[in-house]
Amino acid sequence: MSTTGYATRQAKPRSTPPSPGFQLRNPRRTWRITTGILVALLFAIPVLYVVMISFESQGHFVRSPLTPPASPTFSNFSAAWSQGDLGPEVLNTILYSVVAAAISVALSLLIAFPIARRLVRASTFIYRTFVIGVCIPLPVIPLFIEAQRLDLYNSRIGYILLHVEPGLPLGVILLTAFVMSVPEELDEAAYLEGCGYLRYLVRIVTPLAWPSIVIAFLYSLLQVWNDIIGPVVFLSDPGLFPVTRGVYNFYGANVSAYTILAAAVVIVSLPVVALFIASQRQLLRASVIASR
Amino acid sequence: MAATYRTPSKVRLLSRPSRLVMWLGVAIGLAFFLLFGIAPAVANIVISLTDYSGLAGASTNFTGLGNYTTLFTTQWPGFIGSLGDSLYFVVGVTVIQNAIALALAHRLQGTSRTASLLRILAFLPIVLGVTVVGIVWLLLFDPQSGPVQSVLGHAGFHSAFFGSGSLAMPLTIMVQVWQNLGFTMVVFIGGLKAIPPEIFEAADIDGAGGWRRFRRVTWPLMAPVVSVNITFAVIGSLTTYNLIYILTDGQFGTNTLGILAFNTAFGNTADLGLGASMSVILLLLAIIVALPLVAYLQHRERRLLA
Amino acid sequence: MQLSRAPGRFRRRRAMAGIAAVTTLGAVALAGCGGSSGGGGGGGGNADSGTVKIITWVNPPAVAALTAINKEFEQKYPKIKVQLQTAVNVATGYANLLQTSVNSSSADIVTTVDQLQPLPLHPTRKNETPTQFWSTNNVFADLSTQPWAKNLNDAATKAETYNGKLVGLLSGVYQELVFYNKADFTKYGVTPPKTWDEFITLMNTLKSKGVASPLWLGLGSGASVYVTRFIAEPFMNSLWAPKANGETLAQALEKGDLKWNSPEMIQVLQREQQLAKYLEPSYTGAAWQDMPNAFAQNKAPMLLDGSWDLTSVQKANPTMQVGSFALPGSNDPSANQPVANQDLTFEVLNKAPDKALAMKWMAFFASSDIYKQYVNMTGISPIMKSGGPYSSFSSKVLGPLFGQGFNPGDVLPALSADQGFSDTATQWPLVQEAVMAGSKTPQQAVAMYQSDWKTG
Repeated sequence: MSTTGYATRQAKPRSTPPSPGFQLRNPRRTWRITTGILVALLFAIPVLYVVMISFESQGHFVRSPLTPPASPTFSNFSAAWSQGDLGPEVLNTILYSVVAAAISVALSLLIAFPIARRLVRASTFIYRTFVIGVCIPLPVIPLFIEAQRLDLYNSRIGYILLHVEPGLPLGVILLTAFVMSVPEELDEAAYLEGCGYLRYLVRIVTPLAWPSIVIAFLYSLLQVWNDIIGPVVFLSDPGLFPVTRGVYNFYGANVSAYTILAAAVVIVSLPVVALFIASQRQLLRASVIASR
Repeated sequence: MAATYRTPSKVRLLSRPSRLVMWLGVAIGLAFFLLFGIAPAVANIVISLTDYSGLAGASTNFTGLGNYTTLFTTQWPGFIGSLGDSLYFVVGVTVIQNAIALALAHRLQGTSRTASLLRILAFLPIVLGVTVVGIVWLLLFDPQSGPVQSVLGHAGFHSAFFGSGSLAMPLTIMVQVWQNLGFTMVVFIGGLKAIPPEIFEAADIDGAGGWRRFRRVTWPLMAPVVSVNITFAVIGSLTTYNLIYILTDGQFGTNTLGILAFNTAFGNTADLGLGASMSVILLLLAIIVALPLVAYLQHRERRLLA
Repeated sequence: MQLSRAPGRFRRRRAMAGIAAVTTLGAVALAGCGGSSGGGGGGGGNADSGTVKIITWVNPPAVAALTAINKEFEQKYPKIKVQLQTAVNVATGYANLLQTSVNSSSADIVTTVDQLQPLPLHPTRKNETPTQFWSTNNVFADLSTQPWAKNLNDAATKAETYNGKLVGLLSGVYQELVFYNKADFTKYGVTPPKTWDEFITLMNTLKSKGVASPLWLGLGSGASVYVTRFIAEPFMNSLWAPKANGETLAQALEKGDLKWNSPEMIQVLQREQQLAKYLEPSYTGAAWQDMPNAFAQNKAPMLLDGSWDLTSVQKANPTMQVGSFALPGSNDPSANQPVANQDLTFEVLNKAPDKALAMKWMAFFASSDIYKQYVNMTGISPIMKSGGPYSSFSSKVLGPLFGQGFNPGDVLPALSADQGFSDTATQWPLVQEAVMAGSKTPQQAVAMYQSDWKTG
């Protein structure tokens, strides 16, 4: 936020067109500040509160839940770390989400390109099937049976493979739309120069389609990331649990140990938040373009 | 479908190995889709016509439409009630999530650093994951020691919050909305940014004030992104139940169809045939809701942008 | 592959053939690969080394006791590891774990809380609990030939036998009644009540002396069933069961000899309504797991709970003096008894990956020293013919009531999925919660129960 005075801002020519409705009057500015703070509070307060109580002793929390700790302690963190299997769970979550999303996006492109270029018979039909596929809720009951029959039950590889399909429909739709906007002359030029199909996709199409790919990747990743039904149904070995099921079990075993619970929540969120902040610019850029 | 297949000349441009790779790519992708998407959906229908129990050794009988009759005629397992809960949940989430996300998008569309930071913050809930979000809100609303109860207790108000038949659903809707605001907002921002500034300048010149400009100019031009967001919100709230599983597991009036189907098959009833029949109905509902919704929204889009 | 030169229809056929091949492959894989589930298949595994996997729900004293016992087992058999996996809550999270484990045979020993016996009058898929269905479908291994089977007392044997096969090892019974803080009773000058009127007088006295909520109850985190077990069953037992001539109340209701909309049941619900006025304000959402701590911190002089929580109470407040009395629903003192509920039964899956190891574990558990340790650590009431004396906190708190009580299966008939909506296990207590909250009248509730009830 600029700290120059009101008059100066008004006199300086703007480099970008003003946002719709932005009028430089004081009440407006107060309104913007207020709403800005409210938005920040809306998202931050619940999380910050939990962070705060993770530093409190259980006694302090029960007596006065609203006041900050007089003497912050790390004991909750060591208790949470030793009681729960938090480290491996975070690694599992990252593994499952990233790999499944990556496979899903790769396959989406491999389907989308031929469909968009109509290189495959019944392209339109296949495309329409994927449009319907977006609405299909995950049929866990048959997948549970399938997982056992195909020996995908209770294994990392199996779990990842089971989570590839949900991201396919959206990926195919997004990438088909994008590929259609790439002129076919580009393809032809590449082929005539002897560029193979895969090389063309990887070297040329992927960088062009990067925003759509990131969206599809994130969508698929967040689905696996936020899945608790999957781990409940497809995994039985606690060493394979992702954070969703692991921390839920931890919660069940420690419902009244509020502060230790808070510490566990903070621990599993740290790597995620760090990663998230590190990649924020890419995320934002991609998501803004996504709505097309 | 007549003009869909390209002439051979285009395909011939690809060398033979390339063609093979292309076919292989499509085949593998479709295999995943068929094996893990279509086949299970079909299998769901088949299982719903039996009394399959999941045990390899036990006998499974074909019961025809028996499961469906049970759902609609007997009060157990609460199918009709869960339709009501689902409706409540879907409408609540869709309307509230989109309304707030639109307001947020309007506020946070700027290029300033603050706006960027706040946009990132809005994504925090979905990135934290459903368990963390669930536990955070369960802690906040704990009826014994939580801060909300602490504050409201001074005013003499007591509630079981997530354990109360009246408050559990509104609270669950609120948490679901809170978690998903980021994504929805960002899509709206994309839509807002796609509107050329000249239109706003023209509206300003015509003297349109804030609200009027929104109604007459912004809102119609946002039709495409509104379609996308509403469709996603409806489908999402109808078919997913991860958050409900953690917050209330379908109790206290939050028994949407998804969680009921899951609990019937994988819970204390262990009746997979009955659970499958509910899954089939859920699938039909999703399709029935999605297709006309998409058609209507596309029609509206065309009409507004024509 | 002369793709470009072949006529259109051949290309089409090739594409269709490709897709068909993939689908067929998938279908064949689904159909043909049956039986390769889980670890070593049916009853296999090395008899000397491996891992025994036991699943149970979060029940703190039992889990702590089992963890200690597992360590001792691993010391005795160094080559065998024991993995105890727990899940949240027996009605929800654990139900998922149990169901998936049974279907995929991915655990060796499972624990259940549903009673096998009594089975419904006419067992069908719809009115049996999962445990009953599985027991009658060969899911659990036959334990009758195990050396320790003779040590179980008659009640424990009868409860877990089907068609002459013993399918479960009942670990003991828990008693459900009212616990009170002896220091508080002395302070307020009251004594344990023996009749309903005495109980109401007692609670009014406490209220007049400044105790806002004399009696606490925790139904949150999925424990609505406690309305059934802690309140409804004792009331029905003391007020209604005496009216069933020559048969148990459960049998009478099941056959239709007695009806739900009778004055006795209405009286039960009226007393529940009255009782609710003395409970803490948000009892429907208060997590059941929080109750032992709340009681130990003296937030309430009395707590409706089961004796399994006594260990937690003692741990939270080691010097606390706790007493107990049966919830007096009736004004006839001899009719008021605590509930003696079967708890935690161990079963071995027939298709367990390490079945021989699992049997070793069961024998270890049932040996007299280890079983006594389990009883003392959990505060459960024992079911072995010989053993003891026991030194648990529960045995002191329950005193003459230790091991006493009525079998709830004799009072409340099976609330199975076969019944109408209000009479299913999940809905039955919720109707009463509504009565207690004042949103339904007792008359409305019994009308719902009766109209939804199917006899025979």
